[in-house]
Amino acid sequence: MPDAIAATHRLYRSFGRTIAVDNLSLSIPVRSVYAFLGANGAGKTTTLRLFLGLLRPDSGSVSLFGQSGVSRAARSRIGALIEGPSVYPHLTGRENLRLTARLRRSDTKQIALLLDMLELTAAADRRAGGYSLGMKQRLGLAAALLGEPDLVILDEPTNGLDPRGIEQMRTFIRSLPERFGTTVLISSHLLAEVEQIATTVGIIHRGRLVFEGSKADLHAQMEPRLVLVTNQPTVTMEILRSQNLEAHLNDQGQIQAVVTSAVDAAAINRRLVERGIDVAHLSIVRPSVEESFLALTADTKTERIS
Amino acid sequence: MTGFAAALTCEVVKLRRTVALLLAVAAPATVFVLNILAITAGNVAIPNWVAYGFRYVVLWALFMVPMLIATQTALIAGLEHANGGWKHLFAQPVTRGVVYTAKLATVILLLFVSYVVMYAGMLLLPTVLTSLGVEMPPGPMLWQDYLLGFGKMFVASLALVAIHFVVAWRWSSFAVAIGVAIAGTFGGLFQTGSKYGKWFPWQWPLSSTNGTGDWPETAIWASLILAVTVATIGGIWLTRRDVTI
Repeated sequence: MPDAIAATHRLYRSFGRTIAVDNLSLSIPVRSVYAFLGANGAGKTTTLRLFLGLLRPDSGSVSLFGQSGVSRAARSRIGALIEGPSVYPHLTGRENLRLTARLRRSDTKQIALLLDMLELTAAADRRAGGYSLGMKQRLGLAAALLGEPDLVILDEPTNGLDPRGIEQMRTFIRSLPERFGTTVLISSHLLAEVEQIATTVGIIHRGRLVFEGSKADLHAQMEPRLVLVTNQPTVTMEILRSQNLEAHLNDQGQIQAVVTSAVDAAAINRRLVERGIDVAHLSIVRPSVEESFLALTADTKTERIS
Repeated sequence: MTGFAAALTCEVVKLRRTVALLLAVAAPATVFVLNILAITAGNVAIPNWVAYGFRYVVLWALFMVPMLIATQTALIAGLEHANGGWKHLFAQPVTRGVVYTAKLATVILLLFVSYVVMYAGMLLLPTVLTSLGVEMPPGPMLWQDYLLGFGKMFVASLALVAIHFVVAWRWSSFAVAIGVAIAGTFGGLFQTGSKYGKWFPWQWPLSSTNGTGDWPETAIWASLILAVTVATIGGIWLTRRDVTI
């Protein structure tokens, strides 16, 4: 089996004049939980649909399990939950799963096991139309896991769930690689939602991949900032600029400067004090993973990053 | 189980507790009841078994079949349109062509059930009418002719199945499906006197048994050819479309 269970190569797809996916090359490691992040409309769902062959690319390619293209054989190894669960409301939960099991030619004995794992056994013989959104999501996840797929694609699976539901879903998804040897590709517009379970992160912005790597890589990519609070901000900023540090004063009276190389905080402090400036606060702060994500997906930063 | 058998079984299972399944029996049953009411309340005389046969099927062939087919196809496609079913179906390891063919076969199967119920009602109605005091024609009922007539009507309905199936798959709106059926049915009626009227596929179920000259046979063949053509072109078109819902 290849190191990447799924990948795209210079994938491009537009809808009329709108470019949804632009030259996207990503690689999903085997047995990883790959968090595919981006704001609404960034191109996440389009990419996932391209992975499943629901859409065809204008150019570029998708490869699955080492083979180019989305074949029927490849789809038999993928379980998917795209843009909410597809549930036939007039059928029971169990009947819904039987339909999918039949199409996937998977063992129907798995149905009881999955219903149990996703806490749906008690409601299994009730019509799915009466399920709560959380139950429908879990039913959709159960359908995606039928046939023990090698790759599970989940498009914002926690949408609309309450905090308990989110936590349950998160715990279950986190367990999949270990329990079934499954690779999980999960999309979200909130890093915080998948941060705890992701082993690899891909960030898409306006159809382009702006980051791919581990959480540590994401964290390390962002430059640290020097944060200062003094009684003479204007003079402080002049001193910092004389040190080739680009400084800004924010609404809270904090001076922030991007640190691009090793900075001796003590030396800066000494210089300010020598000029008679009272330093109330001085620290070097590294942005959180969430801040890194927001910075990567903020429009003002797009040009710099891409 | 082959891919097609699995897909067809799924489509049949999906019919459980649906209006589509209910309609397959309810539509011909309605014609049965309406015939009882019309004959008994109108004190209509039935001079012979040929007249009885025509009387029984005219409402069915002219109005009920187009509306039934439009409704059935819209309901079956609607199961996917309404519940995000297309993306789920096409993400499974079955080809889109298999799904398309299985759904089309399901609609034809449902229509066949309706025709069987209709035929059974036609055989049963004289007994019911006699018990209600209506005088029936002398001699044996023409059950073999009726059976042949229903067979012809069924084949002559297949063009409508193909047309409405493609419309219902392409457009999720129920209004579009019914609108096409109404336009076709009444368009055909308004054109009855003209030389173009008989070319309206919505007229073919009736004209397959009640047309003049070679027309009944032509209507059947025209229906078959149009059904295969529309279903094939529609299948190629629809299964290549992007799945965005």
